[in-house]
Amino acid sequence: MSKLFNLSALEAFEKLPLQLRNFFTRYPPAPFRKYASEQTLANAPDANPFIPNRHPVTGKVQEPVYSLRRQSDLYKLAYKFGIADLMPTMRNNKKFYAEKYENKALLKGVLSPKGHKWERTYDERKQRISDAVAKAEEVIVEAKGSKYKKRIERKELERKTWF
Amino acid sequence: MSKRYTGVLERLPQHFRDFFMRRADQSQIPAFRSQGKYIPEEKRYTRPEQWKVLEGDRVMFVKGPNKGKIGKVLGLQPFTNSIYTDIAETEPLAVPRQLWQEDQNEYLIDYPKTVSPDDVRVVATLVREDGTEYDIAAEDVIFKGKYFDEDYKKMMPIRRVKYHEHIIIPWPRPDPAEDCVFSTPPEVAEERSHVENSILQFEQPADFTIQSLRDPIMKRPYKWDKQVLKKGDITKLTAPGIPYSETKKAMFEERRQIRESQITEMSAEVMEFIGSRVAEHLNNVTDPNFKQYVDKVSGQYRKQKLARREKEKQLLDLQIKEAEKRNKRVTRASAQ
Repeated sequence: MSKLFNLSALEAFEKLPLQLRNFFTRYPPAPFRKYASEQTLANAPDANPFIPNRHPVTGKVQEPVYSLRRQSDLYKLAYKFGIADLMPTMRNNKKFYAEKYENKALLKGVLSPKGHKWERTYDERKQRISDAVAKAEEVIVEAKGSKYKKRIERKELERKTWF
Repeated sequence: MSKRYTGVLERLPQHFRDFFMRRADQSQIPAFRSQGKYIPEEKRYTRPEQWKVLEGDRVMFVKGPNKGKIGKVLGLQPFTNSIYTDIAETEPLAVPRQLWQEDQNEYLIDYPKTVSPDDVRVVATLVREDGTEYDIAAEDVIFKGKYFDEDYKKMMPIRRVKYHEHIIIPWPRPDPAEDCVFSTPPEVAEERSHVENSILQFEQPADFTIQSLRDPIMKRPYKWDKQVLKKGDITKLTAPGIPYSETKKAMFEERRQIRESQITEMSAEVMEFIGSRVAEHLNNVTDPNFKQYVDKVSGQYRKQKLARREKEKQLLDLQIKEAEKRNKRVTRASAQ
């Protein structure tokens, strides 16, 4: 496919939606201005407009300048124009698209599934059964008496082997 | 019938009301029977916007045996919301001798049937650039704007063709009212007979006292005597509020500082930096749908769209103005 645009920097800037242009006018991107990724005072020079900051005098936490919805809108718009990395860090370190997918924490249930009860008690039950089988003869002897014990011993002696 | 009985009739449900009206009709001789369906007073047409046509209008019939013919409105029949036209079906009607017209010599006459204004279309005459005239029948008319009509002596709505609002259909000229011996000429009626010298001194005698010019035994208060406070009155009546506290003043100051510290203009190098990044991205685009999207959301496009809309609006205004002028010319020519 042929390429559809052949734009200079200024022409390309004209293609940006007004919403994004206004945002970058107020908050110039990274090399011109740095933004904190943590909560700061609201009047700090590196205050992040996406994060709830503290009031310098009262110390109360203020709502972020851009709400979660508006910052998401801006980010997605910037992503379409290839300048998403120029945006400040979002609230709660929010990510979108591939980046979000890659950084996603696995669910607890996926990491260690609970399983059915028969699955959870399987090993324990098998152990109990094998133990019981191992000492089955002792139990039978106890119940049936010394005559049975002697028979077992005789069988042991009479067992035929190939050697 | 007195209000005592008709009042009861109005409170009855519709089917009962119809039944009683039919009963009343049956007891009458045919000449006195009401034509068409009875329409209660509150649903009768009173304004020209409701009628859409007035006496003297040319109309085209779209229903009935006269469908397609062009006739003239002779009058309005308010109690059935219908109109009399010069081309109309007739039905024989027996008229008692007391009601005979001057040249009538038999009981049976052909009485014209009325038509609903919904079954006719207003016909208007327009003029082409070269001066030739042609007729149009308006599918529907709408009303936008008002003007004072010298002949009707009242404000009349401007009648326009629906979806072609620049075409104005002027109202027909009413028959001039003839003055009788008791009529007052307009210059006498408009003459000012009293001029006040001062607004501080009253000219009536000191012992003259009157509460109101209205009927003292009237039950309801007069509807225009509304006690309405205007904006200025409210300002005067409102006590001054508590002055702003120091905290609030500090807040205002802080707001001002924030507003001032905000960057309103983007510097050229930031623009260059962002633009180069965007150009790098967009110049690799091969999807035509994405190109269309970019062109639609761009700030440029929005500005152009607003400018285009403004231009279209101006053009439409101009068209309407021209049509108004043209129609005025036609009405003037037809009057002469």
